Amino acid sequence: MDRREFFRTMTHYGLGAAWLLWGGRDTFAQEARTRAPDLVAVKGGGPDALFDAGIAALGGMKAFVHRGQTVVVKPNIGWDQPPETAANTNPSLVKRIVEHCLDAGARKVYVFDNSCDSWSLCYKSSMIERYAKEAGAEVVPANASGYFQEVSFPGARTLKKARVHELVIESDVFINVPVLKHHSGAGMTASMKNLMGVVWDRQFFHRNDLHQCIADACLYRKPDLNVIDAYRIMKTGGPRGYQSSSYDDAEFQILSADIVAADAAAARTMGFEPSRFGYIVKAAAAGSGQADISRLDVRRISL
Amino acid sequence: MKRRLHPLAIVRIAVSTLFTTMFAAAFLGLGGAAPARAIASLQLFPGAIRLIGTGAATVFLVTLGVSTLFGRVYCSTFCPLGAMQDATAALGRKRSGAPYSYARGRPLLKAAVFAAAAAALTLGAGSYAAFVDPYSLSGRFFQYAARPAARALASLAAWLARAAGSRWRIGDEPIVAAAALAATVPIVLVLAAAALRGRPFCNTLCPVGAVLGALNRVAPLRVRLDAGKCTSCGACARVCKARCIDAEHKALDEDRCVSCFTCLSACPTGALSYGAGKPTGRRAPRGPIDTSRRSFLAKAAAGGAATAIALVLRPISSSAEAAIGPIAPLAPAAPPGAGSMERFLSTCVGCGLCAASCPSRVIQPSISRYGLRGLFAPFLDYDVSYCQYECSACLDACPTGALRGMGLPDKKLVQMGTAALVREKCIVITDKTACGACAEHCPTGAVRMRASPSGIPEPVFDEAICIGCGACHHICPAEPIKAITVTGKSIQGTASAPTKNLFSANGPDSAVGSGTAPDDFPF
Repeated sequence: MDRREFFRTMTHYGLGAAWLLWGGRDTFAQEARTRAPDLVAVKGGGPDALFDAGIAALGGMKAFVHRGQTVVVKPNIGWDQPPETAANTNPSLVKRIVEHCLDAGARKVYVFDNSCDSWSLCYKSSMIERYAKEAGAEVVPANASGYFQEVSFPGARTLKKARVHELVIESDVFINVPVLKHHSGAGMTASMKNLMGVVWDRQFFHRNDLHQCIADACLYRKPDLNVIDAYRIMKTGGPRGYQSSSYDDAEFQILSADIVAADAAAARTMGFEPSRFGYIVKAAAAGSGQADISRLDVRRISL
Repeated sequence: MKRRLHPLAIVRIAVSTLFTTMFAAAFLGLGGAAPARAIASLQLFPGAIRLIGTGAATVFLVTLGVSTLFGRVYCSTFCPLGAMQDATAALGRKRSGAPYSYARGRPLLKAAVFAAAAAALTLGAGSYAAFVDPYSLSGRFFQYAARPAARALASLAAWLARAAGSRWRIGDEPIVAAAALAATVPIVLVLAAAALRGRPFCNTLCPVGAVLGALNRVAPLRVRLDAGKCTSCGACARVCKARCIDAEHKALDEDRCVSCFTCLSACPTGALSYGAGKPTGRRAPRGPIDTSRRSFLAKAAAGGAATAIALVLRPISSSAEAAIGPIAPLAPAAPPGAGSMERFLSTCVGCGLCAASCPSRVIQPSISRYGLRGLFAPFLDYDVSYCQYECSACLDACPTGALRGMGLPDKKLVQMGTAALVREKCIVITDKTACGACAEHCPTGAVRMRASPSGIPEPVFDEAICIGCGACHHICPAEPIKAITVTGKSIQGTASAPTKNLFSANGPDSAVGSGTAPDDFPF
């Protein structure tokens, strides 16, 4: 090895080391940047803008949906009510979520709910059917018992078995999109309560300790992502809403993969301590998620 | 040799096929509400009830006017049972190959049935008369028998389609077997008769046919037989399903001619034509309507007997109603707009169009809930579902006015029944676990949850704003007896508007948040 060759070799090693060093550092930095927060709260904008910001903070929809996957989006379409009553999930939000899923390469996006009022009326007046279809989703009803297959809920105390909609069983990705509301029976409805709409026999819940059943309902399949629509919050007279219901135009949204954390944050948004709601306490105790918000990495975004 | 159809016959078949397809689609739940309403309102029998009950005469008079002008075309175009009979008769002919032949009419039977139907209508027992009304018979057949069959077929198709990735399934709907059977039997009888004899129902039992037959005698435009050109060859009689052409005597019984126009192209001499002012055929000896005193007396006697029967049936049904009152645990609730039970049962023909229009399927046919008189009259079956607050599809669809039309704001205040809350059966009280399913579903706030010493909200009930929609009844999870049930009202009332603030500071719903979300992030 002559001197020239030595220098050449050293230069190569040096450059390689430098590249490794800098490139490595860059990679680490990237990793730090994409380590998603546990929960994102966004305020001050339309439902779709709130979602755009929220999902970006979570690393984009690609962090949840991979190319070629099937996605089921489960909004609250429980009531034959127009969007302004906020009895159902905001249709623009559903539309935006479907668009993000398809942009991320989803093969198919389904939207459904087992409505309380007559499903055809709910799908129409909520405007979710129209908006979801516009975005390219397939809107599927839940009015036939044949859609629901019996599954077991491992670790459940009361809801050990129930018939669950096939889309929740079969889809690769499960996105839960509840609307935050007062609820006459459960006190508040958000992510966990919204899962009652993937089950056929909701009366079982009411008959067998409502709070325990709501907590048990996350034990079959926890959503990969919960997006709580708090753009307009029904503060009283929920879940259906009466003429004298009161509202809070909060322009707020909560996103989390942790269903218990999402509902704990929702409780605070309604002005309550999470411990007020039996199902949050029971679900946290069962290990379904973190109800103590102070232990979470929360990203707060104001638009 | 294949005989060519007269252009008028082709038009008749096209119109009839279109109408009957739309009619069937409406009752099978495939068509929109608007065509269903339009087709149903054209039908003469419900139109007559609408006229008697509400004075709404326009559509009825237009239909009648068309028949007065153009002859008995109604029976071969607008009438769904006419179309079904024609189809069956054509199949029957194709199979047997036997030609039709002239038969004498049965004016006495026709007059008697018509008189009975007319008496029942005017005496407020339209539901009895509806047993010979082609519209009601067809509607309830499509709704209660053909619909479940069609859905079973569709389920099979949906099952096959799943192999191709389809998510389509047919929703769950209750099938009332007794209604399916009771709706099918008359249709089978009518169609069997048609397969053998053409249109016997239309010229003996049908009250609409009786009226339109009489009008066809004076209609300016009608099928006419020119006796001068007629050679009595009988070609027309061999294709006449009304069996009303007496070729031997060169006579056409216009009363029974249903204006199907089949004979027009059968006649080799052009003796048969549709139009005005041409000479008519001779009267057949012992023609179907003879004006003799004997015939008049017979008809009068038949009418009198029918009236007597109708009068007898009325008290029977009333007493049947009274009898089921105290025995049945809950009186059935009629759909919104029924007014009083008396008015409702007088004017409902049980066609099932309300049930076909109902998105929640809460409207089900009565087999025994209303007694004999209310067979097929709809009631709200809260075990199936509940009346949807923002919906007025049933009363918009009703062709007789039995469900009185009104705007949605008025419908939302109609009290179809009243809820009764039995706290001792309530899950919240018995199990000491949260529930609130009733309050959750109540659209007016008549039942709502109030904080209790136990910390679990308990239901409270306010009768003044309860409309009896049955949402609470349907959803109450208590077993085996529900804690909240709805009893139908024999006279529907008007609820107070649910506008008062149910959630004031001192109000009952203290399960409300302590305040609004803080200005900054609340966590």
